[in-house]
Amino acid sequence: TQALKRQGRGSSRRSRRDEEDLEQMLDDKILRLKDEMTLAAQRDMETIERRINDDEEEEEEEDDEEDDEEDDEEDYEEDDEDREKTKKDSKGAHKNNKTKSNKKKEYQPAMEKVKLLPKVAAALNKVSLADTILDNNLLQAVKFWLEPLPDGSLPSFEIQKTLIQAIAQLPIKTEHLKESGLGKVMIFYTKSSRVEPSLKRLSDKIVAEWTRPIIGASDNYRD
Amino acid sequence: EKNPLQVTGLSADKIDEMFEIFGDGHEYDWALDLEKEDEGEGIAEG
Repeated sequence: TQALKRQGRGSSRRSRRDEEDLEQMLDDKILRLKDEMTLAAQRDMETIERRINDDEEEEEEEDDEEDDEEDDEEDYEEDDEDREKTKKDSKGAHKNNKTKSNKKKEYQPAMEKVKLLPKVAAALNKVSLADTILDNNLLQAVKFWLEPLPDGSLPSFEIQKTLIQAIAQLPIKTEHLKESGLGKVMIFYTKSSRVEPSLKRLSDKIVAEWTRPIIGASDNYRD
Repeated sequence: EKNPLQVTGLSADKIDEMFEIFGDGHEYDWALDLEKEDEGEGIAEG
């Protein structure tokens, strides 16, 4: 039995080392993803900022054109063109051609987050990665992704849905929220009138769940 | 501003913790303001 035990200890030490290696590997993977996500969020933000600046210049030229187009990242081409058209038509069709051709040239859609989304979704939805995700503060990148863009628009519905649903599944603790700032953005999602009702309900639920341990951490809970 | 202590009945510690997590709840009000502008109908729903 002694020999057996020793053997057992040996192999458990080996497997512990394997586990550590694996952990390190997963950490690296998540940290890399976090970087990619942060960069994508930044690029999309810059794209929108450029667009706002272009708009302002244009507004100066055409002076009475006040409202801007919606910036949906996805379906930008079709959706926006239509919306643009309706708006412009009601404002005065003569502007249409000029403005549109300008915009076609200047406006590149903000697509970096959308492009990266499948990879992000795959990681977030892997139960085995949950601890690694939380330990490495990937939630901070999630926060960047959910934040409203400089023009006040929201990220695409796909991004909102994927991230918020994933958030709802993760065992997020108070410390993770302090670290990431995600709570602040989720409050925004409970308030914004642009959030789709089912996602708004889910956001309400998430915020309530995060609040409970704080509110409920009284006499009978912690002691 | 109302005193949150009176409103919620929470201890100062808990209020601090709520604040740390959720901020003052107005971090993104600038975006909500832009929404209202875009909709051009002001405060429609609650």
